[in-house]
Amino acid sequence: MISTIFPTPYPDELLYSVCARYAARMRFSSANIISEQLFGSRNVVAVTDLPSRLDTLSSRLPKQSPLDANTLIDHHTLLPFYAPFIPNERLQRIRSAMRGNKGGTIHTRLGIMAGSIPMVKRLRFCTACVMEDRQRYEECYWHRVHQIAGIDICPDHRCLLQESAASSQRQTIHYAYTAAEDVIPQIFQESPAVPRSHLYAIAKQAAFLLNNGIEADSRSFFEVYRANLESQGFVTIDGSVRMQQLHAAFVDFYTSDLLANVSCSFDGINETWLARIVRSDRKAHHPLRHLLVLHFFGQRLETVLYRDRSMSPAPFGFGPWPCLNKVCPHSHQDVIPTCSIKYSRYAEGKPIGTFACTHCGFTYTRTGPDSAGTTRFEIGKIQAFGPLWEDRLKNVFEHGTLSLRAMSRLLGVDVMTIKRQAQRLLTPMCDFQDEAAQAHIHLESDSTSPNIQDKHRHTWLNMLESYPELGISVLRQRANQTYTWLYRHDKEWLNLHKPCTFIARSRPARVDWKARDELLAKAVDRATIQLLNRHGPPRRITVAAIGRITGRLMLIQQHRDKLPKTAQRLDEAVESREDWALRRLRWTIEHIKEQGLILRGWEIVRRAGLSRFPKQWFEIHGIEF
Amino acid sequence: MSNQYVDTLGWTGDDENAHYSEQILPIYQDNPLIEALPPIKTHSQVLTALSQFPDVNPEHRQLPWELRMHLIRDIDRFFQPLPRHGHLYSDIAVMICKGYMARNPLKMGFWKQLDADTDALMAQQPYTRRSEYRKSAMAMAIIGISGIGKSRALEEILALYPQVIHHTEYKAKPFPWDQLVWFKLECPHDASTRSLGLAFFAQIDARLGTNYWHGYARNGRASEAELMQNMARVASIHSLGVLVIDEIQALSKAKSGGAEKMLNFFVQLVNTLGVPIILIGTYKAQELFSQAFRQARRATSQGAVIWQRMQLDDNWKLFSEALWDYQYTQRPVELTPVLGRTLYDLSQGITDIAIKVFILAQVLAVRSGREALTTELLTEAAHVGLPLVQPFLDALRKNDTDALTRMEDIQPINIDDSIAQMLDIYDKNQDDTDQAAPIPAITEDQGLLSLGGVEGSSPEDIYVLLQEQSYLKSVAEEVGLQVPIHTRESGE
Repeated sequence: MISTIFPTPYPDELLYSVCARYAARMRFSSANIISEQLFGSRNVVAVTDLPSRLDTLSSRLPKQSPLDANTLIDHHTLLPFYAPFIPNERLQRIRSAMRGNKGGTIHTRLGIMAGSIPMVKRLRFCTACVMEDRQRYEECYWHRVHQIAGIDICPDHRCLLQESAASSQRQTIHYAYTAAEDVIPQIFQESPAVPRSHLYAIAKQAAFLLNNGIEADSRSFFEVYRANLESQGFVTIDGSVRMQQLHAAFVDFYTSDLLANVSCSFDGINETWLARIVRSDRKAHHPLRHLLVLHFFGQRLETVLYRDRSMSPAPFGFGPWPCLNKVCPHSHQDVIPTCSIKYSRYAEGKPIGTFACTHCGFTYTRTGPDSAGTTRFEIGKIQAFGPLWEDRLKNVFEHGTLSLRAMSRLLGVDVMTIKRQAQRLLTPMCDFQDEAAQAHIHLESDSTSPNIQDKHRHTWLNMLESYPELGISVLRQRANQTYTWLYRHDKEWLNLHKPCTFIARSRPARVDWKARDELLAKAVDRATIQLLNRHGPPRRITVAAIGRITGRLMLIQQHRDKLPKTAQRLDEAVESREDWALRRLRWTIEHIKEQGLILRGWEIVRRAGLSRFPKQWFEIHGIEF
Repeated sequence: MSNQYVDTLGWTGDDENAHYSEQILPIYQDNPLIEALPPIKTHSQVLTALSQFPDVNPEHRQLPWELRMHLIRDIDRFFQPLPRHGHLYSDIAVMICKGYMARNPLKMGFWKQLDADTDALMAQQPYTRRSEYRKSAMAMAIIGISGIGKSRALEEILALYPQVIHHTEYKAKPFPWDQLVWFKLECPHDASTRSLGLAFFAQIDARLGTNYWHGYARNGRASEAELMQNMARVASIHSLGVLVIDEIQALSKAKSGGAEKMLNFFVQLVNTLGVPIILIGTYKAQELFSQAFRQARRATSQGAVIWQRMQLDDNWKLFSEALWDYQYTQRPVELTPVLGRTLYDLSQGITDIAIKVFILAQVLAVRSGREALTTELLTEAAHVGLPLVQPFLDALRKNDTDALTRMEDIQPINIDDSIAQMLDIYDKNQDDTDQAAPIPAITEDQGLLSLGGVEGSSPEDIYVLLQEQSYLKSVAEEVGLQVPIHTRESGE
């Protein structure tokens, strides 16, 4: 069990920081005992942003501790920052990964690994926060809000965050927790506030996300963007987005320097993250980018997310509401007990009430909120007329005594509506399904081909001819019978007679692997030399060691197949066990010589950390001692 | 966890959830550790609380002897508080509270100070760092011969406190903390400081359910220095109120690299971290203290308390009179001055021996059917049941300090063994004298009548026979054959 003195987390403290403070309090004989005690295994990596095994941790906390896995996730990890921007189902999977032991999948699922916003390399702090914390709690701690990639301003003090010496990424001793108090020096003066107000506003928004545990559907952001694009004139009459203007305005608003700083800049207007984020609601984007777009539109999360709540609780007053069917016996009487309210996607989230009469089936909607009593009798749009009204229309129309205007007055709708509805109700219209059948009939009457195959082929060709712009899936819907027959009996012919496919535009390569390979290969060389020329005891040259020096460990480890040159350099550089032992031996001998010591063979071997006395080496490699 | 160090787990006390009480003294206010302690008792409250007088029912004296044997064995529980127990309580109460005064974990800078202090402890820096601790920290040593009631007294006094207090919230702020008010560690025989350290962690784990054995003692592989430092840390993070180390004389000078080193550690623990310590030992331990502990004494108000055996005075009278109520023989007798003096002479004022002689005499009285305590019975019981302590008592009688220091300490007396031993001899002698019939059990119907000498083999006769024949002689031989007290295995 964990000792009862497991620290109580401070506001906005990273779980990592709590663990680090616990480790500092306990000071166990070795660092991995903390991992073992807290997470049940000594191999658990100390993760700063999105840790896992939280169920294990919470089950090991003292009984009276109020911390359960969900509280830890919501208040002491960075997940709430990402939560509103990913589909709910995926969010639940990430949550369960964080509770369980599958920590490896979290970053991948969130898209942080593949994303283009680099992770924070070192834990950061705000000097003013540190001073405040030290005054209030006698110690400082790692704040969540300071560890968000791209946001380097403290939302509380508006000063630039400082990088500490503590790495927030995988370290040599990967289970070590570094307490803030141990690495942040004494601070006597706060950093001055910075005037960059855009990022400050975004930092504020990030803090809002962390502190409010919102699980919105990412769709709703797309709707907000769409509405704002429209209201701010970035949408053409036919509904497409004026990308050129949008991009220009965006860069103008943020400046390209700032965008580059937060890894959110773009070239051109095609397939930029900005284009994708406003165009499609299917792909996940980094929260930082969402925040940038929202801020650009002058929107704040508070209003966007809580717009439902900020509305009046009863935008249409209280029921029952009147039936507005002129021919209904209950016309203009309050007979509709309930109305369902939805919020508009386009009209700034205004409420739309739907009212359905239970007697006549007449259903109308109205955009609210109602301003005065008269609007109670206003129809926004008629959703359904209901059998009563429709029968009446047929009746009057067939009777033929009334003029259209008289009918309009009688039925309470526009003349045009009367016409349309009469057409709909009185003359059976051909639907899409019937089209094929019509063609069919047409062909049969021709009776040029008694053969069924020919008949279908003909139909299909006809369809292709009449609708050259449609793709196969639409054609198939329209002439389902024909398509199915051909598919089953005449597939080869069908394959030859498909509408020409649109050539999918290939995505431009995001990464120039070749250039990257060149750069990395050089970096590997430099790192190797640096390792070899290291002052002091030698260090083995391994992929990990090189990776750490270059700062590209992940890249080297996980994308080796895309980096042939780098891989080759690595293969050359990395030492085998024997090479490494030999180098150690040579260094030891050198070192002993420098010190002017005279040691016996076995003593040298012991100092070099070798297990056996490699006599043959001394001979083979001509080492003298 | 299984390891050899848990076997010695000594007394354990109660667990309690913290209830905070208003402190009258301003110096103790706003300190959750002190506020959670039971209120400080007055002298008379202490004496009442410490008293352990098992109920006596005169009717029980007529029960079958088998049942009465149980009652007689229960006399062991008897505890008569004396003025010195009251003094000891107030010393300990002051120690605990003052120790906590300077170690309030809610105070700013608690952790920083802890880190600094444990580091200082290892750097062997002098303990002049914090005047606050020096004023409040205390160490005490209780020295006295075995059986004088040192450990028993401390056990009873500490039992007035809960051993572990679980804190969760203090003044509406979360305060998760397991406060260890007292912890008693018995020095294993011929112990090194290292094994004492290991025992500390093993027993803390057994008591608190932690896993410090793994975290701090590295599963028993930790070095001595590491153990010392970690002991200090654990003592701090569990707010150890007072650490009691019993049988300190068992600390091996040879194995500890000089007992001074160990005692120095205790002194530093006291002075640097402010953890009060009570060491308990026999006179042999006094020489250990003489060097190292003198410093502590200088720095603190407390020092070594030497517990003398009781004198034949009013205290003795108080004690023996209280004890005398616990007669389960069929015919209780008055405590005459002669009986009182005999008991004193047989025990030399050592309470443990006095109680044991009293128990043994009753066992003998009941089993032999004599059913009444006499000076002879007491003497016989003492000599037969406790032969091994006799040379020691002799030395005390003569006040032969030379002999006393030459003798190693007497082992704690196991009353069950003594009874078994006594009855062994008793039965053996019966066989020797061809008294085939076992001692007739005095049942209720036989009762007192049988003692009147109606039957030939009345207990009185048996006694006479035993005396005449080889009984006492064999006792003497047994005593003679036994290895004298000054070797260790003699006690077992």
